[in-house]
Amino acid sequence: MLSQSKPLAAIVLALSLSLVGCAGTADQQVSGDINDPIEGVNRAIFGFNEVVDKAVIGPVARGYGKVPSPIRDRVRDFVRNLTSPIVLVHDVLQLDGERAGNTAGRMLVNTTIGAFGLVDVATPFGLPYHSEDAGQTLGKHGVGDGPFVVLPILGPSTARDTVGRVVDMFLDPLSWIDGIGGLRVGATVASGVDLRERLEPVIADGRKNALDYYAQTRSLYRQNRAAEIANQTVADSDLPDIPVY
Amino acid sequence: MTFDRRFFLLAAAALPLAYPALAQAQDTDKARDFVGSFTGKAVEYLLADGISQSEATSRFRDLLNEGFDVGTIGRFVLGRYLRETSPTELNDFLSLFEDYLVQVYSSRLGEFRDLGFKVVDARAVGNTDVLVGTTAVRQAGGPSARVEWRVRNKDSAFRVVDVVVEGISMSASQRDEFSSVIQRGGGKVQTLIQTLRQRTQAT
Repeated sequence: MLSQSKPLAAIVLALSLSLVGCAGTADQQVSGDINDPIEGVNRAIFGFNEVVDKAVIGPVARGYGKVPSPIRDRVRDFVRNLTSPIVLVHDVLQLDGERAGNTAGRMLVNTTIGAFGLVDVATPFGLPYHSEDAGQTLGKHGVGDGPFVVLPILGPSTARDTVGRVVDMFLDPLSWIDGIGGLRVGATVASGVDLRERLEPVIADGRKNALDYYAQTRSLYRQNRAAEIANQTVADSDLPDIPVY
Repeated sequence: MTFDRRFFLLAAAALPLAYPALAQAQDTDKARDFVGSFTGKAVEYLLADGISQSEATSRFRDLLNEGFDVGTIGRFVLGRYLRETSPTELNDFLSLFEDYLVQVYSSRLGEFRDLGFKVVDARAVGNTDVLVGTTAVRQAGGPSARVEWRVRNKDSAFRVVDVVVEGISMSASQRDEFSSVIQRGGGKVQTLIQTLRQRTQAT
């Protein structure tokens, strides 16, 4: 599985690195500069993604939404537990001892008491979930977003976050274990469907009300990533500057 | 050099007299009170049982103008294109922008049913604003969301200039979207005005 994905990963990595040269500063979202040099291409891929979503992914996600929520919660908890090794890697790389301890604690508690991660018993214990990935680690260490990129199927991203995705494919401790590939693919698909289901109201609203749904998606994606990197603590410098008119 | 410094100090001292609204330090307690009472009132007024959709829409418009500084938000969402907007265009835009907000948000009112806001913190932002943090919870339970209300005291009244939902600024998002529409229309604010007009009159 890994040897098959390497050439494709290498191509994506090379393309992303060539775009990182156009990296803007972390402030660009605050000042409103649109760093989207390949906007034409992005809009085309976005259009393609919309077609695929309306035909396949959306209906699948809505169908998944009808599955009773306790079952969906089990799936989500299991997937989160499976991805906790890579989260731990990034907590450490971000030099965040407290969150690393939290993640390690969750892994232990959920895998044992939580029946191999099917039940998230760690959150009521006082160890809430948080996600981390290579894009966030790079962002934490000062790497700017870079140009906006729309990935086929996977959707909005940035040059930095795309590099992050590829890096995570190799960095994930679970990828070093043979035979577990199918489980990881299944987990990725399941979490993608779950996320799509949860985003349904935002997506439906955007399609109906936005004057420029692509531009709205681009703005929301960037701001959401900035909030994730800052671990949801919005600093004054992250807020837009609204003059007194 | 001495002359310049004295002049500068004099000018700085005169500033609070010229702009009394800026002289007061932000009152975070009053800001908290405003957000608490405004969100409570809004939820109750907008989601009252038995009112028609058109009544709900008109109530929304009233609340929008009462609690939000639509003039400031409207100018902000034009971004760098504000400078190039003529006074007539600006008036057109602000009126259409208000119609657009009413259309978009009043259609979403159903989603705000059984939603409550609890004020949890507040801090001053810049020289003029207070960011009041609230937790939005549904009575039925489920995950809560952090919603921050950026309010500004102008002419002795607080009005909202931005709403930050889970770290995402609504005003910034709107500005980014409108900037894109203007940019794709060749940098003309008229494109945005036409699009808004079509949108709001299509109902």
